[in-house]
Amino acid sequence: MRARLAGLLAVLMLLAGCAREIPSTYIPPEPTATPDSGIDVDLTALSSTMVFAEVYNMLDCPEDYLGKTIRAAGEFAVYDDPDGRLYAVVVQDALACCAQGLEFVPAGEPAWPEEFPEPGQTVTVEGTFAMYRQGNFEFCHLADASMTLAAE
Amino acid sequence: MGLMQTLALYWQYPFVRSALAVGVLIALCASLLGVPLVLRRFSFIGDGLSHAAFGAMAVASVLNLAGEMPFVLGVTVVCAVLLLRAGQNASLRGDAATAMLSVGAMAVGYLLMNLFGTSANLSGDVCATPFGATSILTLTAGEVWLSAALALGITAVFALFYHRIFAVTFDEDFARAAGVGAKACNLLLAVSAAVVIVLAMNLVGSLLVTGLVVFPALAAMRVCGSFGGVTLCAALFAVGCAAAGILIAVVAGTPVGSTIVAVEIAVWGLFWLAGKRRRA
Repeated sequence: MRARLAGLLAVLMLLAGCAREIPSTYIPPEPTATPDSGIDVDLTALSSTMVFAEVYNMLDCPEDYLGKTIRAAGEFAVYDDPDGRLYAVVVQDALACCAQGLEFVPAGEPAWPEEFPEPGQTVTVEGTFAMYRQGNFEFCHLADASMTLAAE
Repeated sequence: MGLMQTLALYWQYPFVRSALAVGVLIALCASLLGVPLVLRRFSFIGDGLSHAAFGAMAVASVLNLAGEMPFVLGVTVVCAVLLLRAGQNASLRGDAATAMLSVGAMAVGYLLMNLFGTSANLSGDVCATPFGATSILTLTAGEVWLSAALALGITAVFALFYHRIFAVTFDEDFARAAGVGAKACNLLLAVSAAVVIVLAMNLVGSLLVTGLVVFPALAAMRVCGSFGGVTLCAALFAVGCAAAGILIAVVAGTPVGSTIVAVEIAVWGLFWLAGKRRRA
């Protein structure tokens, strides 16, 4: 009996020591893609697990998404390629060890770097899913994309 | 957006429906195999075989093999046969052989991927395999059908050979003497275990496969007294936990594999309490 009580006390003390406010990993946002919004795939309304899986499927089966308007949010990234500068929004999986990027081409011709966010900042981009060929390879990107900084 | 609306939204995605269907089937056949494996004290074989499969995946990716799964399945089947036979009059006992294979395959596999890997994101590829964060949600159509067919096949094999598996599990010597075909049954169990482990790696990752195999059987044994009852209870336990785990993971944005095992732990706790009350 004493041993059981001691064990229960130890467990309670351990739990008390570990107690802290647990941040929620996902708070469902209000749906932003409505029939009138013009957005076919709104990744900003999905959980991180769903976003990673959906982006993976978009890159694996791009023909299913051609011409669709996509809204995505993630970290802004820049890559300097020999053929030019590439911009992407990067999403991570739930473990944050795997990441995927969706390349986008900004609408208009914003000036670099003044009219771009800082690399690493969270941005929301909306664009039309398209494919393009470079050499022997085909790539996917969001064409004619608008970008906005995510609210702090 | 309420929970039901969120679930309705996610249900529209084909990969969510596929993940649920395949995930539930994999959990079902893992739980069925788990009962004889736990009773024969081979609980950790899932760990050993999944690590062997990881090593095989590393070799397949280094060699740039077009179809990884057949190669991985083949290697894992060979390892399963060797491991399950290691307990029979072998100089190296089952748990030691499992430990050697488990650690050796992981170490060699990771080393090969580091030295000869062609992936642009090595740490990401290596990290995703042990924990199965989103693997079940990113299966191709071919992988979905193959996984479903294999899982249904394993379930059918278990149903067809139920009585022989029962005999071999509880008294292998008697089963052999009675002409049940113990040797063939052991081989069948080994091959089935290998197939289940490779399938389950897509659901929960290689490090958590043992949870999928062990928890349903242990929970069922707390409340059921017969082999048939334990098997049925384990199957229902596994199916319910897998479905709940996948749905919680996609809604809450948590890794799928860890969520499924966490749900199993929680439900196992309830079964443990129920068993305690039953025995009191």
